[in-house]
Amino acid sequence: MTNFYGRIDWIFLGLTTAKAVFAWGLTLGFILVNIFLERKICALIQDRVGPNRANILGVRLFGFVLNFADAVKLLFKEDITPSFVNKTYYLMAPPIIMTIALMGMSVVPFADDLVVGSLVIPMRVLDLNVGFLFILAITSLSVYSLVIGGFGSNSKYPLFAAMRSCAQMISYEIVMGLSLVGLVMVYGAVHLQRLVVAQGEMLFGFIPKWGVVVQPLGCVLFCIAALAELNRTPFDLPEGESEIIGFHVEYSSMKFALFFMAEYANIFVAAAIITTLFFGGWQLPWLSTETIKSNAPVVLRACAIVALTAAAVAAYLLHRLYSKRRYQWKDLREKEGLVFYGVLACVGVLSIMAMLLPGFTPLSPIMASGLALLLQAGIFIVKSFIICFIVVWIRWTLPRLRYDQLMALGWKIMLPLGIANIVVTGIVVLLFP
Amino acid sequence: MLTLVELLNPLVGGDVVSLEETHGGVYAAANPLKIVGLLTQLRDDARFSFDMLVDIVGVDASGLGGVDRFQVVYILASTAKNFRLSVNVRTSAEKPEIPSVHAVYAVADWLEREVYDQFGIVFIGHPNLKRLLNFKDFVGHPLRKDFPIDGRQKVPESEDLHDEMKVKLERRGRAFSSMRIGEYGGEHGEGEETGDDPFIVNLGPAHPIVHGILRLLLAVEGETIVAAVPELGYLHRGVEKSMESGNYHQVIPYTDRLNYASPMMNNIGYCKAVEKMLGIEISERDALLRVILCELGRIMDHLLCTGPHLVDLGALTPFWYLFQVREKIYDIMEKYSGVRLTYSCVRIGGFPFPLYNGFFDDVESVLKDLMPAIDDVRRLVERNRIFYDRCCKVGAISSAEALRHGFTGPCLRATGYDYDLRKNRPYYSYDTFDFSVVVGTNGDTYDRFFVRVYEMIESAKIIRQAIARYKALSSEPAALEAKKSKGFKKVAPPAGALYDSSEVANGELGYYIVSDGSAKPYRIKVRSPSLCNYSAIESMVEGAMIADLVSIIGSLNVIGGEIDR
Amino acid sequence: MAIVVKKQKLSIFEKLYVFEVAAGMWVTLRHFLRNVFNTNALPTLNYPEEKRALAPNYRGLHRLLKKETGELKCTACKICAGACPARCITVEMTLDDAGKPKKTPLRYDIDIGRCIFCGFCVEACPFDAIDMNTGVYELADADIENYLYTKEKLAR
Repeated sequence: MTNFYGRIDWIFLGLTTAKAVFAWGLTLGFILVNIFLERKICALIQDRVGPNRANILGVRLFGFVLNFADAVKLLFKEDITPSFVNKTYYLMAPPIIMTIALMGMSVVPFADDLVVGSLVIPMRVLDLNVGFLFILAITSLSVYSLVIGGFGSNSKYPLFAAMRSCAQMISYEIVMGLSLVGLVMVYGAVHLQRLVVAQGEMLFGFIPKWGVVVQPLGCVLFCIAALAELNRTPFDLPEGESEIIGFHVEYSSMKFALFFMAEYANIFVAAAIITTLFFGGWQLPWLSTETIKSNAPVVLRACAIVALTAAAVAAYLLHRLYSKRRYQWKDLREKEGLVFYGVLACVGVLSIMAMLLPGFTPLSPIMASGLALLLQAGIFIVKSFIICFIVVWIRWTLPRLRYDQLMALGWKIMLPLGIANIVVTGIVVLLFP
Repeated sequence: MLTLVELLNPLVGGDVVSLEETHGGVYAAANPLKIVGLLTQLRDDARFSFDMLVDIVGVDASGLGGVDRFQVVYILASTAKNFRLSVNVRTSAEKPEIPSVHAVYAVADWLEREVYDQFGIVFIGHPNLKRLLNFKDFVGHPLRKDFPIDGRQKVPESEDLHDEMKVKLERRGRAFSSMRIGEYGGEHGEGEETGDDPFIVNLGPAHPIVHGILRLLLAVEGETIVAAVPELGYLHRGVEKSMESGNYHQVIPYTDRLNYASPMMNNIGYCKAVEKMLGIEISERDALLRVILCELGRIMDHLLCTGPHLVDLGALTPFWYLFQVREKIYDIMEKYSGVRLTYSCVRIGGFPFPLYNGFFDDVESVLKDLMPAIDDVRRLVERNRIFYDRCCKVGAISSAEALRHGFTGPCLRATGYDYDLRKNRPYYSYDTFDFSVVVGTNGDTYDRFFVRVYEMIESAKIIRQAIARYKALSSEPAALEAKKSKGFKKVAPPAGALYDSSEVANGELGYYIVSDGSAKPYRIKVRSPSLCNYSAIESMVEGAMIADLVSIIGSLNVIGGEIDR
Repeated sequence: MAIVVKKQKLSIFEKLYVFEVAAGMWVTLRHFLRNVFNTNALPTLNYPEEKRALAPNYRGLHRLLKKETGELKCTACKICAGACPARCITVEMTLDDAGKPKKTPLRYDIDIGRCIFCGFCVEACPFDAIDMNTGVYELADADIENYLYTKEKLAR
């Protein structure tokens, strides 16, 4: 933050703040998206409708507005602190886990470095060259929160859950670390930006060298270990609602809300990390940043066409939804369709303007860089969203693993597989440099 | 092939006082002091091999005549030779004591506790003679004839069950220490805390995994359960006492509320018992309709067991697929009887409602929707290793132990023992239908789950055959003659007692009806299959983990209403 | 003769969790894709905008039927009160000035809080004076005194 002469580098401070706001705002925003996905996908898989009543002036957004209703509800709930809890630990636990989720997001690059004149702005909040080691270290700290919360509750069920959770998370951290060693061997970098850039190269000329292509076993192991770290089904025994109700039994209102939100934030952070390491991060499959910047008009037109088609398809689907309804709301909710059609119309107009723009003015380098930034950030968000979808989808498909089977899976199956992965990767890397 | 009476005749004059055969059943009166020896002989002798104690019924015979006030009836079944025998003993009001038979049949542990609870008869030698259905400090014995029907008492506080747990832990060589909240490392609760005593955890009455309301006090060590103390009676409504206050027709709504997962089977079982007492034979068409309703009930009950079992394991989706089918069965029953749950859809001697037009089409469409739902669920769990590890070898019980605990139904058949009342003691011409009995191999949770799944498919087969026969019998698509009976005819079976049972989804549901010749039943005892299935929980759960306990309770299909009545 | 659920052994592919997990995920994805484009065909009912169509013989709130002249058909014979398993019907016969009974009820109360909606009263009545075909099932009330439905409330 201070340059060589000891003065504060305001530009750096300003940029970092902006990036932090974006990254952490994205995480917090994705909490809402994750909760919405969880509820809506759960409902649609189970042949039912899901949330469809919470509305703001009639607009229900397919149940997204329910998140705001939830937030208001949790804020207004009575904040009970039971008399038998150990107050220090009890109150310390929820903020820790929320902080950790946000810290983990700090090193993830969401776009390529922006070149503005002579200034190179890295598109991540912290430009650390230890890369994913930082992430592994930070996620280990989340165990503290669960254990402190469970132990500080001074009650038997949370204690059970805390013990199980602690052992589970520690075991799967080892697998997480091991599965990434192969990645380092193949790409030769730990720095996340270099990893993403390396995934832009081509294998056999036309397959992008994504992590999942080069290290399929490592990807599978990492994804399963990440699920275990997130305490999601099939590894959600610590918060197993049916048996040991969970480590957050004694929490109410905003403290419970923090645990709840931290879990969904962690899902997004894990999805972002998986995207960065294995699915190319912000890389568009066959377009590097240079390609985009040099062919900016074409890219702009292509994006406009895609947006227009998507808007048209969305409008058709909405029309089908609203015309075949079985019942009438008889209030403002009837007018919801107008809002959606309006938004889609705006999208359509903007796409047409974007299509016609290169015909009127040539695109300056700044605009081209901005276009590349937007596209890459957008593709990063889309890829993370898909992974969040898969995480939620898995939850509603599988039963829960019993505790000793979970530990056996981690230690007896995944650990040897991770080591085998390292050995095989090493041999392949030596033979085919 | 000697009949049972001929085989038992040599015993008369010794342990057996008298023998009679009425209503197609054999009733023996015995000397109460010799009951243990008699039952041991009946169990071990290869000519009889009465391997299952079906029920122990207490009767307050003060209105029936006879010298001694209390009568206790032991209903025995020989599954191999297909005999049924009721042994009754009488004991006086001044000193109501009978030796306990818990060493002969393990299920007698709870059945005798219930008789003690309701009548005050002391069973000498019982390891834990405590009240079963009423709370510990209840004053009086409710099913005695001098106890008023509105003599309810408030529970002052819940029992902490620590005394029972202490005894159990001592029997396993462990010490008991209960830690109170907030005192880790500080003062201790009772007993000396040595640091490696098992942890006492309460799986309380309100818990997502217990179906109905059951309570288990567990002593766990890490994850493994060292001992478990169950507590029943949270849903005890005094159904048997209430049944005595109305006439035989007014009992039918009570039977609805026993096993509320498949109420029509309870109704039909009761009406079958009363009709047998009266000597009424229902028409073939009515019998076919009762078969159709029973099998629909069986499908409903099995859907209710498998769905929530998977929810307890964490697979929340298959529940919805299975319950959509259940909703359709509810729709059919609503169109037939008028309500969706407590049907009261049979009467003594027939039916109150005519079939509606389109009943058979609706049933056929339900059966058609059943198969995709079952297929989806099977594809989700059958070869899934997570489900396999959670359920295979979990809660395994051998056939011998299952019979000792009075298991019937899918839980018994999952152990590999082929005993189904529809085939072994057929009624309503079940033996003429073409269906198979589903049998497991290990008696574990996986087998219990899949026995139920395949039984649903077999029930669908039976329903289709019954519908075909029904349509062949009646010239019209549905029996549309107006069946509105004007009023309820007086039903007064001749004085005497009868035990009759039918195969409901959970096993053998039996009614022991004692009549004194009037229009009010003197005593009705419901033999609940869930109670006997659940009685083995302590031995099944020991050594298992808490996660296994969830799986075991889910697969046993404990229905609170049936256990507690 | 019996179908046997055999002792299970998993193949090597099934022991690696992922393949069966993928098969299970395909089942749920099928349901998801079928439902996300056809939300209107889902079986969920949006109560209270959409109410379930009741069967014609649905046992709802009782009603006392009237003759063409407008009087109640009920003759206060108390057979329904005797048939009721929950003892929730209270009937009193009207007495005219001379003390002779007139065949019409002075008081006909059903305690809806006790009623189990079994329909025995309808089945027992020899005069078809009561039935339960109103289709009214939304009977919740905040005050328990309102659960005593008197003759006036029942005579629809």
